[in-house]
Amino acid sequence: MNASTNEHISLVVNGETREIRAHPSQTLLDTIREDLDLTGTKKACDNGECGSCIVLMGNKPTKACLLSANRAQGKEIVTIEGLAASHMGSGEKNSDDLSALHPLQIAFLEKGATQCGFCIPGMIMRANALLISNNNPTREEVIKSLSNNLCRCTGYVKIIDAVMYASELLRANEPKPTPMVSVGKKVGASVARLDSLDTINGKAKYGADLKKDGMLHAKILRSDVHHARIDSIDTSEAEAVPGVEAVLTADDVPGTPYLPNCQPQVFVFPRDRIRFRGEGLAAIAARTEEIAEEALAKIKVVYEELPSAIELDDAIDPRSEPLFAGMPNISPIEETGCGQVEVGFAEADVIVENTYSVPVREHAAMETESALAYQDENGTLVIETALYHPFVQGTRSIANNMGMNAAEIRIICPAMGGNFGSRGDTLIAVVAALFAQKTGKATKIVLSRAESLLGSSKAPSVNIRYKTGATREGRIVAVDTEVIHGAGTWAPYLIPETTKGAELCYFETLDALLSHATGPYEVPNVRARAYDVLTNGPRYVPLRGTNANYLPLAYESQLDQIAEKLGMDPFEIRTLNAIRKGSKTHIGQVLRESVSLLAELEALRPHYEKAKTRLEKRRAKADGSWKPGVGIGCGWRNIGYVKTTISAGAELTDDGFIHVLAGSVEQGQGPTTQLVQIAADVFGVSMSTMRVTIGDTSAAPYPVPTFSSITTVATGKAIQTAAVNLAKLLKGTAAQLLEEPPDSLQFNDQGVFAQEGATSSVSFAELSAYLHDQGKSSRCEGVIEWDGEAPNILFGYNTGLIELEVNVESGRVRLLNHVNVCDPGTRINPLALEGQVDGGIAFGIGFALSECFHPDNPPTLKDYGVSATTDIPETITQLFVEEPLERGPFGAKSMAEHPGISPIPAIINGIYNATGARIYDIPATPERIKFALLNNRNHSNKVRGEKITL
Amino acid sequence: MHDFDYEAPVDLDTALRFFAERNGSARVLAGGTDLIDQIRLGRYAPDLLVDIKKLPELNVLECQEGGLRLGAAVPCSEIYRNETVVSGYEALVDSCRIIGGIQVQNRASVGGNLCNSGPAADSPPSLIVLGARCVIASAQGQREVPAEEFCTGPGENVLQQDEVLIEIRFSSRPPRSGSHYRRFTPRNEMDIAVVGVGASVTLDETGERFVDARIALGAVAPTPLFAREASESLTGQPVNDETIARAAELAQQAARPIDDMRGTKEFRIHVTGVLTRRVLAAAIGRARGEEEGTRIGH
Ligand code: FES
Ligand code: FES
Repeated sequence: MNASTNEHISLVVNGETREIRAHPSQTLLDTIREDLDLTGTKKACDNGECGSCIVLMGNKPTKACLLSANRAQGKEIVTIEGLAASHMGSGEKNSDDLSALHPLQIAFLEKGATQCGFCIPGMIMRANALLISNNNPTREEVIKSLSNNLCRCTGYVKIIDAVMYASELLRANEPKPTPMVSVGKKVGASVARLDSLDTINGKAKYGADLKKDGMLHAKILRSDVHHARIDSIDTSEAEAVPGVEAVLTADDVPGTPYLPNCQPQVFVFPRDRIRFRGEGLAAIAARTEEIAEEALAKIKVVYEELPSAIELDDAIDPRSEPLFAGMPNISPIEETGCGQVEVGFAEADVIVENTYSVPVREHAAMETESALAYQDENGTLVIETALYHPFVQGTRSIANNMGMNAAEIRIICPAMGGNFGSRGDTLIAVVAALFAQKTGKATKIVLSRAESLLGSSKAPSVNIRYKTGATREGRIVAVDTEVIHGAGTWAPYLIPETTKGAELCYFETLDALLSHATGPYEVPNVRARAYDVLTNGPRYVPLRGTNANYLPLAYESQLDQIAEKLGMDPFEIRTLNAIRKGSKTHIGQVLRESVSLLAELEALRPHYEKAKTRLEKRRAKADGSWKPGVGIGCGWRNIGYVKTTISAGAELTDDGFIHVLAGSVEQGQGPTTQLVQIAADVFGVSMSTMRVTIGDTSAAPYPVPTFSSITTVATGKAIQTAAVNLAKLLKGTAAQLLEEPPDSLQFNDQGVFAQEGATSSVSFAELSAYLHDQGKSSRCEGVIEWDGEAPNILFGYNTGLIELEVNVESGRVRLLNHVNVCDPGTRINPLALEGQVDGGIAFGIGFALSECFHPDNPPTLKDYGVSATTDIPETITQLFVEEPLERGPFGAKSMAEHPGISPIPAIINGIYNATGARIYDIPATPERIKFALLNNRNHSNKVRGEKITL
Repeated sequence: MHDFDYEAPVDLDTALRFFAERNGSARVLAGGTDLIDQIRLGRYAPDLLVDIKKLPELNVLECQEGGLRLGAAVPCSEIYRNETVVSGYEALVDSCRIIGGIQVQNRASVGGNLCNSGPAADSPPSLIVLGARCVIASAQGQREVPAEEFCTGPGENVLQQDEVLIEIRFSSRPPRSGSHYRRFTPRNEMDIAVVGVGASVTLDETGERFVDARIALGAVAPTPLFAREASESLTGQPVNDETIARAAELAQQAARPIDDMRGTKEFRIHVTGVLTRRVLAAAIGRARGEEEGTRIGH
């Protein structure tokens, strides 16, 4: 870049005049984040599509990524960091002081509107612009004004609530309430997330926000073809570019390939073959990102393109060339079931058979992947990167790739801008780490949104053939299904036998998928088969709800079709067949604990009846092309698929805080708060006396993954146990000091005291010092065996209904009302729980109506179809049936992934109910609905063989 | 990134001289767009970039006897807040609301939208139906190009290397005229149009007969399209379902869409028909001065 063309720019940012020099091609966003070091303004798309970079420029909302810095010359800019002060007027600037928060910030805290927090600064700034121009907006106006701000976690409801509440606060003009951060509320109370204060202030540090002096910037060269034989990769010209410090190709990766989830065949960089578009081929580290990019363009890859198979139908062709030498593209068939299907179908009075399909889907976490690697003072290789299982991924996968010992690597997870299953890839961490090793300099890598969309691992495409037989009375007597699981360039079956079951790395298999095959219904005769197929698509990883999320489309659509043939109500056929306590699943597992489907259905019933009445009224007065409909859906999802031992720690800090430690990571779902809440409850003290460390492999060495809905139920229980052990130790110690029997002692926020009103007490700090003098550690551990009947230790259930309208001319769908019933066992933090449910619902809506990835036409974030404020139902009602789980902490069971299940079939069944168009392939885009209506089944819905024998 | 110099002159002559002198190695930041967009699009690698957004000629917004003068860099938000524009050039306002809304920018402009020349851009159909003329300047002088001839391919237009789009001109609107632009997106406002349709009609005194009509389509061809036959089919015809349906059919025939991730050919053609009917109906309503009773949406 030509320094001479750098312009002098003077801006007033958060009330301060700042002078910088910037090239006219530099965005205002980069200026704010890099030159001014105000990293609260986020970059999620860099393309004007997500709103995470919104700042106020002259009181107008402005997407900083779309604006060249020089166009802000002389302008007044307010970022999230300056929001509170801009509201209070100058003088008061300390945003740590809760009373100095902007009403919007208070509202976001109070209403539980933050999860991972990545989108929040942009949301708040956009909302602020709205409230400046209109301090009494309607809900619709809020929805509309935030419709260009994407959030992947919250499902928007609480964000909209918060903006409405903030407008009230602004109008009331009364002294602001102090937000309820860290007050003494515990299990069962709605508390603001402990990390949300940093989020709403813009102080939380995500991967891209981290900096080290003199750090290098790395960039990866990615293939733009789907399949090719690599002849040569020549990096010499790239190496010669001034400012380039190191180059990596396959030859520079010292260790054995060992990527997440035991993918033995997956290399950091391929040596001889490109297998999917977007695959990394080489990397460059340079003094600036621009130099690295320039050098990338000078790497010469000579390759010969090969025929590719991206669609499952092409990939299952036995003539296609193996993607990996010596390994077939199609896995052996897994089969499970019970009874005799032939006999079952012979008994059936009605049989329905169809094929269904689910596309490849992207996690689309709002934060793209990043890693920062460096050697610390002790020579330990530190990698700051967001991973959901820093132990296995970090200490094994990265170490193996580096040819190092696991103990030589420390992983620290910074704030994570969403996971949903995507934070399992260690590739970029390895690249950053190799550069750090090679150059001795800290190296940072941050993926652009386009790279992340193209090259990151994805959820599989799935084709399902499903045959259901039922008696005249509506009893399902037989299910026969076959599932093709499109695994991209990695399939679980590639796990060699030797590592099966080893540690936690083997967790996704066709077994898990098949164990959900019938849906939550009792079926006496079942045959369920599945196989994996390799395609030239991105690698496969699970996505929120994973195995439990593909089949509901099929089994719930089938159930509605059977009910229709029999003239039954869809609700009754589900109640009739619902799995209940003591039921045996088709894989022979007897369900003994917390089987709540029937209870959920009963909770839904009155809402369903009302919805039907409303439907009749709507139908009577429906005009024009909008047709109303109602659909319901049920689903189930296993909890904690793996058997494992889970531990956690609790101790006193020197300065007298109770400190809990766990291996879980914070990915926006809220364990930080929840684990503290659980421990605080054990002691009966307020959360402000607690400290927590998670997501650091050295500081909290308790290996546990954060996946498969395991955190609350298993880690939570381990924390509870550790806290109980610490409480015992502290009471025992205090008993000696106070010369009182341990049983008479109690905790308060200061320490331990003997009986109400008594003066004799010892503070936590004193206890800590005493233990220290005695040469004792206060660290206590809680260990639990997470075990049960394999492969599903436990199930959670979800039931929901949707009222919607479909436009029969355009095929567009409008969601009016959604009722979602879940079973969390016990609600530890109702506010956080509701947020999880909202977020799950938004995912379900996206899956049903819009989300779809195809590598031929890589989408932008907007094209991909993440739900926006305008896509969510006008009203959402959440219902909870609480069937306490004995072994869960305070009876709680995990459920973040469940609420996204029922909306998918409910929407598809609702579309049918409204229009008579049955959608077999999701997403149900306007186009597919339109053509299903025109009965042009060959067009987008494949030919269906329906066999009806009634 | 390619290395280049940058200039931001404040008078048009200086700006135009740069282009004339640099002989093709200087590029303009297309009227009203931002450098950032241009660079992101990777469209070219010039030695000199000339920022012309500060030129007064590009910032006029004037309604006079003869019609409307709209500088290429005038922000959309100013356009839809302008009373005269709102009352006379409704389709333009419809487009500006969409463009401004998506960008959340105070700077998004019609000129920029036009110069990006995307097939699915939201302003060209409105400009076409309102009979807009694009004023293009170079050191040699000025020329005018009708809006329907401005775009020549996806991302391509008639501008030569030394030329700048400075202004868009509209004739004044005859009485009993109404116009409308609407687009279809699969989900919400954020999406890019799968089909966009603009229409402008002028009715006779009875309000029951078309004196004149213009229909234009977006996202159904490599460039925004003036649907000439569909438009002409309405001239002198009575306002009724048949004439409207006939025009919609002709519009469908004019469409030459492609398949892509947002929609297949068949679907785009289908939507073209539906939207043309609706947009015509709304334009007729506006020409008659009727209250807008139809639900906005799809
Ligand atoms: S980063 Fe600017 S809109 Fe997404
Ligand atoms: S909280 Fe909005 S993206 Fe995570």
